[in-house]
Amino acid sequence: MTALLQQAVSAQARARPDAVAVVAADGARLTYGAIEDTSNRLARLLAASGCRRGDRVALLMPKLPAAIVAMLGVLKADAIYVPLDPAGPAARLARMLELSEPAFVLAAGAVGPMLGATLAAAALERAPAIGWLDGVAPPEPAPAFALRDLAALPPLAPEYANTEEDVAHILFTSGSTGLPKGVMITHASVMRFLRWANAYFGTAPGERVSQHPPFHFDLSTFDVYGTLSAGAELHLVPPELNLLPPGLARFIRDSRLTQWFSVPTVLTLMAKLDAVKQNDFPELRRVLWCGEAIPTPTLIYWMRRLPHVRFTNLYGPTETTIASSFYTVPRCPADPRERIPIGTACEGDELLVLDAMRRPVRAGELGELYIGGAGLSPGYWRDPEKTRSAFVARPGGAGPQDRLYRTGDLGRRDADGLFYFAGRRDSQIKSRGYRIELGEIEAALNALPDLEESAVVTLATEGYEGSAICCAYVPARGVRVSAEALRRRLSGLLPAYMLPGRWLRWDALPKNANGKIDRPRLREEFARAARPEVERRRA
Amino acid sequence: MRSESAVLAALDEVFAEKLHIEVPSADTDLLESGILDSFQFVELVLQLELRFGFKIDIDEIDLEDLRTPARIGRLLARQREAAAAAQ
Repeated sequence: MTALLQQAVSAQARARPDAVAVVAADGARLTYGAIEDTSNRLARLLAASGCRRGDRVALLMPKLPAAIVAMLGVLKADAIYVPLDPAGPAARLARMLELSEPAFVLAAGAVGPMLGATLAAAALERAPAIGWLDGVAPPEPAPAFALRDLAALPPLAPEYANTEEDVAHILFTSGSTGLPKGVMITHASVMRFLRWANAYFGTAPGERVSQHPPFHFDLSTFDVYGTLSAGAELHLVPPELNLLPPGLARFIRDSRLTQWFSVPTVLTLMAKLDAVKQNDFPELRRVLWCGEAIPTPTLIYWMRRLPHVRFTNLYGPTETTIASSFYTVPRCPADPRERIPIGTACEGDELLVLDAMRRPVRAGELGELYIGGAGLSPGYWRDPEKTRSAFVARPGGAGPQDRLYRTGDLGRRDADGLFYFAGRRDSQIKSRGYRIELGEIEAALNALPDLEESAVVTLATEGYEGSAICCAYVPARGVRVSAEALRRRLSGLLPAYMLPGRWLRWDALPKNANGKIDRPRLREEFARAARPEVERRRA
Repeated sequence: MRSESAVLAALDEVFAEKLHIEVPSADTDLLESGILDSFQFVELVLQLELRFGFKIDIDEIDLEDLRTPARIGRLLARQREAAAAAQ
């Protein structure tokens, strides 16, 4: 019976204990038997250290095999893991600790300073115990246990009290008020996606699958459990290769990957620097992307270079677990302006386009996308209000359990039943595949002392980049502050992907007749400033 | 040497005006400090190509070449000479 995520991996460990499960960035290889034994021991150590069913365990680790072992170990302890971005910033991670109140933090690699800063910035009733799972633990904060303590415990799987309806992990996403919100994901929601995906893609033992998105990003859930429940090899992509698109191409080539899955931005950067050769990556079978719309010129580039590869677009927010719809592109688009559909619902999922009264709209008409089915999260961690406003009862449905997730995405369904994404109804954006609430950026800007006022708008850029985040700012009276200095200060509050890339200084922000900031005017000015023939500096 | 300092000056300009990032010195570790991300790196390459009028051979670049502005400067000076010699 494989109802729980860790059971799906254990089944492979029984079937092929000596097969490679995880390949580290440095080339180290871990077998299914090894990750099974180590995660069993970790679960026992957690339980012996006081970890109870439903406790949260934060993970602060770079892309190391220890992170995979940690996830499995936490699940095997009937606990919930909360992956945190090891890049920080500490102030933001501290809020996540305050919200999730973890009993433990499992750390590994060079995260000592970030862990120390995060704990110092967090107001917690009870300090979490630290477990150090790789390398040498720093003296501060002192770990309660370390990797070597695992050896004393038996490598046998514990009994599980959890059922598939229990929460497996909490993933934090950007919140419009400046506070990140935690999406609870159950075992059942992930399992339902894996059942569909592994059958649809035909993932087989021995395949070599990329693991590119960071662990705090929900796409990584598919990499990790899709691969390890199929008996295939999970290849951790060294994050520093992101700086060098040709390095990523070399990685795909040298690792002989059979599947690549990332946000479209990564595919775009590789296309932009022409990193893919004609008929490159002969063993690659599938390229998948999710997180935002792929620029059609990027897709054309990849499909022309790799005619032997199957290209599939996945769509779905974190709240509905990994993805809810898919579209395998049947042929290379002829026109770079052609829009790529988000396709049709995955098995067990449902997509609907509804109007403002939550009535279905006719084919071709614009509405808001709602998602139903087995992928729906129970809601936001300890936030019933946000949960109620985003997870709504299905109109004419079978009661409160029959829910739909209101995505905030606009969309339409064509006469053939294919769904298309058509923008947002609010100020949430996607940049480099990350979901960002502009309100979170503005809240951070408001926390800076040197500004009189500021506003954040986005600008659709041509073809490749997607949305550019633009900040208009007015320095406080008598203060001289550069855009570079503001950006640096903001980086103490926001992750790098949320930092505005374009800045304009104003003497006062333009206002409309109602006295509100004139955002269309700001967008116009940023668009004008982006054109090279125009003088950049403002009077 | 002349071309190297010219490249460094151009780098400073691109950092400040195009990428809006503050790089304290020519020896700042851009990777360790997380100052430069992939998008900005690609933008940097494209901007420098535009500014210097030659195509940078990206396949020849090693991650270590990008660690500091000084190293990027040396790399670009090297590539520029190679590009000039090839003409």
